[in-house]
Amino acid sequence: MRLLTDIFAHAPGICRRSRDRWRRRLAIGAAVVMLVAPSVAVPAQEANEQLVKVAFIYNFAKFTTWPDSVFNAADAPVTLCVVGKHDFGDAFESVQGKSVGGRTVIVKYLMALRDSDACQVIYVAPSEKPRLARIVTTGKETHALTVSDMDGFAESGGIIRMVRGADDRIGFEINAKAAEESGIKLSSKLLSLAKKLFN
Amino acid sequence: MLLRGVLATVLLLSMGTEYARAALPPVDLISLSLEDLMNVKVTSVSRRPQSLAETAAAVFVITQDDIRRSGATSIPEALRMVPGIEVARIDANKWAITARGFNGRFANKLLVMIDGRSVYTPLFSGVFWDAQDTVLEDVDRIEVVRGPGASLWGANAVNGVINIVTKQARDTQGALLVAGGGTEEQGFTSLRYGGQVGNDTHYRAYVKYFNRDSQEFIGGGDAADDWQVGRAGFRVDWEPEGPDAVTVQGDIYRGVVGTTGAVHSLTPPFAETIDRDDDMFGANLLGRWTRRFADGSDMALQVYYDLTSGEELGTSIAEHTFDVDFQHHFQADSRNDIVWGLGSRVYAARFDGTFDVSFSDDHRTDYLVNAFLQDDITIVPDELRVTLGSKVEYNSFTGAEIEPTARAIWTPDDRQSIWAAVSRATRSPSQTNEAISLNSVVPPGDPGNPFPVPVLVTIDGNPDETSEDVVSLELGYRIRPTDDFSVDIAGFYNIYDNLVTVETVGASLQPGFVLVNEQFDNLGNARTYGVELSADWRPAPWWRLQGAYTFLHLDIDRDSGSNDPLIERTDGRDPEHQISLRSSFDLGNDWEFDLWPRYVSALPERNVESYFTFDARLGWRPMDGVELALVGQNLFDSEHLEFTPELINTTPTEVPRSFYGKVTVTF
Repeated sequence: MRLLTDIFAHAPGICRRSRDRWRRRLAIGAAVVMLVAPSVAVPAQEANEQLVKVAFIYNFAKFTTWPDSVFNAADAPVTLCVVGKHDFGDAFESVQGKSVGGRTVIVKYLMALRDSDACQVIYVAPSEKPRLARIVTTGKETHALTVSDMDGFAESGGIIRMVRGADDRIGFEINAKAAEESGIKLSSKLLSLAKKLFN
Repeated sequence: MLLRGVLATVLLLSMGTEYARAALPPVDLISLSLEDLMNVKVTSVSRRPQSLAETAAAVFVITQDDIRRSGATSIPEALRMVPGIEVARIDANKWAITARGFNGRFANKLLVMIDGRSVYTPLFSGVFWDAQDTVLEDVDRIEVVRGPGASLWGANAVNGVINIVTKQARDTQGALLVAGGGTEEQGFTSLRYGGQVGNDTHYRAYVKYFNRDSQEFIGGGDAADDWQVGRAGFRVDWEPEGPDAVTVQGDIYRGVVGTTGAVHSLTPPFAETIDRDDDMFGANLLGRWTRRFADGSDMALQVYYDLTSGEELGTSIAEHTFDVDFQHHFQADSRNDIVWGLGSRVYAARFDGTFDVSFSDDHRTDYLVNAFLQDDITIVPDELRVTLGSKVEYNSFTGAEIEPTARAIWTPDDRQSIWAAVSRATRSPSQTNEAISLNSVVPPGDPGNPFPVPVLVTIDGNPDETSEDVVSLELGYRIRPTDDFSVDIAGFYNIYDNLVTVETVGASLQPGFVLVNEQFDNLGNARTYGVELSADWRPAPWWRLQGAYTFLHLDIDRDSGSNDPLIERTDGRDPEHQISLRSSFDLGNDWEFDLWPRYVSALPERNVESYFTFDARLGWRPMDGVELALVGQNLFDSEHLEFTPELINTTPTEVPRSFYGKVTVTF
């Protein structure tokens, strides 16, 4: 009944190790670049998919401006809500306590999203697909940045969908209209990097 | 007692590594710019085979793509690509499949599960492979673990576990139509439809039918082993908002299975070869309730019922299985990831015998209850993990069995890992081991019979049978020197005791015949060792090579009290070398070309010679949702023999060269 991969692969260490390696290799790569070929970019690196996606979400937040009304204090945190049954393990913990625009990031895990949950960023797990319409509406009403990696997310009114491409790199699509309806502003840089824009 | 020992060890390890908790490395990915992030290649997704690089066991995963490109039309045929697994086709509808030796049609040391339902039957201690099938396109993956998996999965996972996992209903939405036919595959079709009810519920339902032609006897002559099976099934996944999810699934199948075999009598002609078309029928229903908590812990409660029934050469059997399992998985602290569970199973079997095969009780009910605990302990974050666990099982055959395991994996960097394990597992006696009676007759005049009357040899079951057991030492190494090349090597040394033997217990003169009485006992022992290697290489973006090599050596002996003359020869019944090499070309314009050469060395004690053969597949997707494929199987020679069966005297047939075409449409 228990899946093999569940049993053996929930090692909490997987993600962190890739980070260490990434750092080491980045350092070596940077040294090589500086010494040998100043014009050559750092070669493509590798990392755990979930951790990369969390880093993307963190970056999305950095390029987002919320209406002042969503924060009830100057130093109020940015709350990232993870909604539904996800398979990220503890990957979201890597942004817990980090800073976005001078605000601290807090990660909350929710099995169901309610209006009273003050989330500025909502990651919608694929398990919530059946309830997507309601989550999108709640997100808009509460001025939240909705992010997911489920199929058809941006087409269904979600704001940013992350996509793993055939080259095993993560890209993203943006529904600019949905962002506008939510009353949040995405930077032009973010929009320019999107693989697909829905208006 | 042992469980307490394990817990104590866990506690000690926990205390000794307290310092490790503080040493969480800083996070670097999140300090990258978006542009840099977009250039990062991602390597693993949970439930993808890559994450198995973290596994302290000899593991191989057959993906949906592997199945599709192999051209395999059945689950047994797909298993040929797995290192450490032996697949031999006895006739068109019978297979002998095992891991790490002791192969036979009733190979009894491999546990097989489909979506959490055990299809290992204690009736004959083995798997009725002809009954195990589904729409292959709906299989998500087949996970194969060689080596003892008993601490989690329980008795009979002595040499390996095969876990067939179908896709979730939400991943099989819409219609799928498969149709095809050819020289051996005379016609096959599957129709599946998946849809959604309300917001929270996805379902699928399927029907499948195939007609496989008969093969030929050794030396020619059309055999009677053609077979036809019709099957239908469904799966419903209810995933409401919140932590709960419920799955209900079931299958029902009926088939006609052809067999040629010998039946005996004490009057002339003593032995006769007959052809039979036997019925096969089965059904199963499974329900699973899972609850996943926000902290990452989860629990599951699963209940299933399975009916397996069939006839063979005049005997008939039916077995009802009821099973209930509970399990809970949670992270006790930052280093201890714990899974524990409880389970119970009841088997109710009915037998109808013949002169050749009969049973001392025609109804019997057996049961088992079990509990297990496994702790996955991070000793050095990111580098060293230890897994300790044990299952304690009580069964109505032999009483209590304890099956512990200890595993460790060291991952010095992201390119390589080294693991080691020591485990104990047991194989409980089958219902037939205890209750069967097998008769064979040696006619007068036969070179083996010095008497003027027939000799009746009767092998009786033994109610005092004990469990076979193994202590297994394993070692493995995985390395990925480049992004396009990886190698996985596993080695093992197994020490078996209490292996089943057939002992001669008496001989007597009866009116008109000589009776030789034999009985099952547990007086065999063995040392086996082997190396399994698999490699995956992408020389170019459009070309992938996947190789597997298996070396296996068995030394089987009888204990001093045994008079079984045959057991020592059974180590010539498994191939010493096996090689498989799959080549997959993506030719562009949606054309694919696959080649799959294989070599299996001889089975001297089964009079089976070594063979080399290969399969080839040409696939084309002319438009979205349509795939055409032409497949040739066993192309090297016109036919070859793979196995000769044990215990039940069915006549083996040779696997022929064959071709089929197939259309797959999704909409």
